[in-house]
Parts: sequence; structure tokens; C-alpha cells
Amino acid sequence: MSEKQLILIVDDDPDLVEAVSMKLESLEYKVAKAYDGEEAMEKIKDEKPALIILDVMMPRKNGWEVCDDIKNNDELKDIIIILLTAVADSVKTTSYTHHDGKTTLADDYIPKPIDLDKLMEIVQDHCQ
Amino acid sequence: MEPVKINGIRLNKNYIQVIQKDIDMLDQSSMSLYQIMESNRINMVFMTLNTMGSKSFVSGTIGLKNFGQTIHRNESWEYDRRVCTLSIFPHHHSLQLLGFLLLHLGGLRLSFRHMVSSNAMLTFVVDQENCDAFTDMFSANFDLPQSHFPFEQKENDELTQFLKKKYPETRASYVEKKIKTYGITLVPDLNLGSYRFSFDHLSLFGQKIGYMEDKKIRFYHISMHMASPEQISVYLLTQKSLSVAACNNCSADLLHFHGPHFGDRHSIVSRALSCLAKESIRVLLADCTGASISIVLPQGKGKAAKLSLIDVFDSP
Repeated sequence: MSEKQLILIVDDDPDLVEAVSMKLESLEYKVAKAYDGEEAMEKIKDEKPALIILDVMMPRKNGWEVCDDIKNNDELKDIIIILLTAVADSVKTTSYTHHDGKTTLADDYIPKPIDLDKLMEIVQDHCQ
Repeated sequence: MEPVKINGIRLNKNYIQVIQKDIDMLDQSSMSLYQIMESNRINMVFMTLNTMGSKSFVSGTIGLKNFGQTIHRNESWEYDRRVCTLSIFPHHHSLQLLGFLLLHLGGLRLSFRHMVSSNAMLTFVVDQENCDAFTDMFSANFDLPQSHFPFEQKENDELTQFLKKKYPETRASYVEKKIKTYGITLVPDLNLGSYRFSFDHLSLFGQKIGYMEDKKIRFYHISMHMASPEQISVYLLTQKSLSVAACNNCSADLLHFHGPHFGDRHSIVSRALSCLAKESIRVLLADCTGASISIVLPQGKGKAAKLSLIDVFDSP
């Protein structure tokens, strides 16, 4: 993938969204932003990002549900998903049990509070 | 003029504003508002502290349900019921956006109690009866995504209870030995401009800062409050002094940090300010909104202040 790929950041913390956005833009990625799961789904369908940085705990639609919807959609399943999770110690692999028993497959995860430099490394690894 | 683009509005209703005046942060013999909130485990979703003017104060916004828990009510405290917080984001540190906003607020005579910035948000504390007028103004003058206007946060009780049971790491905890942050940022050697004018001149002030010739000047932090029913005090941090008449300009350092769930956890700002008080570091302004804390210090004190936080706050 070229460095001009579109990355969608989804988090209900506007300050974190801006911090991540500025870092990505400094690396010449194009950035879209959403602040809850429903807005994220609208942006995904409209703008087809290459990669999504996705918070888990969000209002209106949480990150697990968004991840499920994307990975179960043939048109969207190839979008790379990196989960931002505060539960990293409980996540042994990138497959983990959803609270109602379903399995969600994200491509990668990073625990909060995120190290922005580490996040950029993960993004660049997936975007190569 | 074309509407200015922002990404969203956040609205939180049913709060009480509590104000403590004439505070002395370095006085260990008495407890300040934020320390009392910490001891009662009450979260303040918004806080602004100011030692700059002739009357120092700290003002915190707490949930209505916590009102009865403020056990150590002090006669010198003032209470205002039924306020809300309204945030717009992102501001991009743009003086043009800030000036545009103040121009319209002043033009419509929309009064507020406080306004502070974080890295992305501008947050107002407004009498709840005025919150519709504010959201109408944003709707009319800002380009907003339809899906995000106005967004009123509600707690997802089911998800929160599940997470508290299953994943202790996500629980808002006041016993965290070291509070996790995304990193503490120090921006030294800024210009802190202090302005005071009547409410009638807010629009003019907005016009002046919004239409400055030098478009590259950005603001790093703003803190505003109604000093009296008709007088506004503004404290604006920029790279250099503005060509707008100020009551005072001085050099200052800015320390800001934010972390996961800061907005859901009490005591974080109290612990930060206690670190500084322990080192006898004077704080000019301290403002908290969302998950962010911004502390303005006299020039040259930023490094020492950042060092004093290391034992209590953890950076990745």
C-alpha cells in the first residue's frame, strides 16, 4: 500500500483522535475521524478506509460490534482493524470472546494508554 | 461567511457548579474543593482554577446525584444548580475558529459561566436553560456532520457493569498506584495574555483575534470566565503577544496531559496539583475537560512541574 492510504480513527475521546490524527498526517497518511460506532459505520461505507484504528468502549455502538460488522461483510472484511483496548492483559491473541459469546477477529490490538510511536509502527507494518 | 467546519458537539446535562473562592493551593492547613471531592470520591467532569486575578477561585462541575455527598459544605462555597457542559471539537488551535465562535456568542449575547480548551475541545459551562440556544447557534454557524449533532452522552449501564465485573483494567479506579497517561507535554515560553472587558465587547474581541493579519499564530490554551454578570476575563496562551490590547502579557509554560477514562475518574487533577504544591510550584491556571488536564505555570517552572508528576503519573 502507498503512504497515501486513508486511515479512519474511531474513538469517543476527541483529544486522543486529534493526537493520533496529527501523528498519522505527519507520516503523510490521509485521515478520517469518527467518535462513536454508528458514525464509524457511516464513514466506513462512504470512504472505504484501508485501515481502522478502533476504540472498544464507545457509546451508541461499541468497537466489538463495529469489528463484527466489518469482518462479516464481504465488501468490507479486508479492511485492517487495529483495536485500542484497555483490556489488553485479557486478550491473549487477536481473537477473543465477545461478551455475548461471538468471536471477533481484529487484525491487531494495542492497549491503552497507547504509545503513539508504537501505534505508528503497527500501522506502517500493516500498510506495507 | 461560510460555516466553519467542526466534527461534533458533546453535551452533558444535569450538573451542579461548585465554586470555592480565595484559594491558596500552597496552604496545607485547609482543603481545597478538588481535595474534598477526591476524599468523597466525587468526579468533577469539568474544573477550572485561576489564581491570576484579584480573586482566585476554583470551580468544579459535579453530577446532580453527587450533590448530597459533598459532606464538607463550606459557607464560602457557592452552588449553582442545573448547568450543562457543551464541547465543540476539534478547534485545531485556530485563532480564526476561536474568534469566529466568540464573534457569534457575543453577537447573540449568549452568556456562559466558563470556557476552557483541551487539545481538541472548547468546553463551555452554561446554565442549562441556555443550552438549546447554544446548540442552535452551533447548528446555524458551524458545518457539522448530521450524525453528531448534538450528541448527548449517556452511560451504557449494561456495558459498564459487564466491563467492571469482567475486566478490572477498565474500571475507573482511584487506587491506581500510578495513573496512566498518554504522555505529559511541556510547551515552554509562551505568551499569556490577560483580557478583561464587558460582555458587550465579546463580539469585537472575537473579530480582532479571528481576523488577525498573521494567520500563523495559533492558541495553545484558553480559559474564560464571567468575572461578574457583565464582565468577562480571558486568558489566552499564544506563541507571542497579540496585537490586541491586553490588561497584561507575561511569559508562561504550559503542561498538558490526558489519559484513558480521566473524565470518569475523580482525584486525578487533585493528585496532579498536590504534586506541584509539594514542590511549592505556583499554578496560574489549571483547567480540566474531557480526559485532559492543562496547567499554566510561570515561565521556567514547567520542567520542575513535569518532574514532580513522574512519581504519580505513568507515560508510555
